[in-house]
Amino acid sequence: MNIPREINVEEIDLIYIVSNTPAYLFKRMRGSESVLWMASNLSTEKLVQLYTYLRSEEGNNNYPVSLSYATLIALSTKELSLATDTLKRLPLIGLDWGKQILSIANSQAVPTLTTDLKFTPPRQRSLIFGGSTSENTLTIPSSVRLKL
Amino acid sequence: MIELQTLICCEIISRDADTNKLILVNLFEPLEAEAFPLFLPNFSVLAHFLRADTDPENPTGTLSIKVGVTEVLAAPMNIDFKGKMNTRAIARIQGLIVTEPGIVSTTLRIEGGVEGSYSFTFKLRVPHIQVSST
Repeated sequence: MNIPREINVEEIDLIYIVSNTPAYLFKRMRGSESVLWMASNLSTEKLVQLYTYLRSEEGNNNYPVSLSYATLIALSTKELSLATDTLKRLPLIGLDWGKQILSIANSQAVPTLTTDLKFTPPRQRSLIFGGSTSENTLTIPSSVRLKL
Repeated sequence: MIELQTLICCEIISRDADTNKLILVNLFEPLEAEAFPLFLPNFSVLAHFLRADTDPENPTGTLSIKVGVTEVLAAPMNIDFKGKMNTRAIARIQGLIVTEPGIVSTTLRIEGGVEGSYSFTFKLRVPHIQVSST
C-alpha cells in the first residue's frame, strides 16, 4: 500500500519522538499539517484501511509506529458517532498509548444536536383578544356545480 | 451547574461531517433595512454548553426570540450531552419576520436558572434624497 505523498512521515515521526505524554502527542498531532490533510482528504474507510495496513506485519516493518498514531488521531476528527464506532473496533496492538489517545479523543469530541423550528407569524392582537372574527362562505348553486 | 458558554445568531450554520467543525455564515450585527416588516429566510442559533459530572445529560432548554417587546418565537430546544462534558445545540428557524425596527433578542433558558442572550438592532434606513438644481 502506498502512503499518500501529502503525508510527511518525517514530520510525524519528529512529533512522536519529542512527545513525552499521550496528551502532548494528541495535541501536536492534531496541529500537524499531515494529520489535518489526512482528516480532510481521506474518508473514514480509507483511514481504517491505512491503519490496518500500518498495523500489519508489512506496514509495521516499512513505516514507523508514529504513522499509526497519526492515522488514529486523524480518525478521531471524523463525525462523532462514526469515529466512536470505528475507533472502538480498531485493534490497538503495538500502540502503548493507543487507549490513552482514544480516551483523549473521546473526551474532546463535541456532540451537536440540530433542531429545526418553524416560525409562525404572530397573530394580530385584535383577533386574539377582540373576538371580532368574520367568515365568508360562498355557496355554489347546484346548477353551476352540474355544469362543472 | 450547566454553563452556557456561547450563544450566537447567524444566517447559516454548517457542520463539516468529516472534522465536526462548524462554519458560521453572516453573523447578525446591527442592521438597517429599507422597510418593515422584514423577512429573514434563514435564522440560526448556536449554543455551546459545558456541564459538571453532577449535571443532567438532557436538560430542557427554551429558546425565545423577541422583536422589541413582542415575543415572536418560543420553542423548546433539544440539548443532549451524550455522555460528554460539552455539547453544541443548533436551532434552525425557517424564516423569521421582523415586524418593526428595534432590538431583536434571542434568549436561551435552561432549567436550573442558566440563561444567555444575543441581541442586535434593526434600524429603519432613512432614504437619502439628493436634490440637484438644473
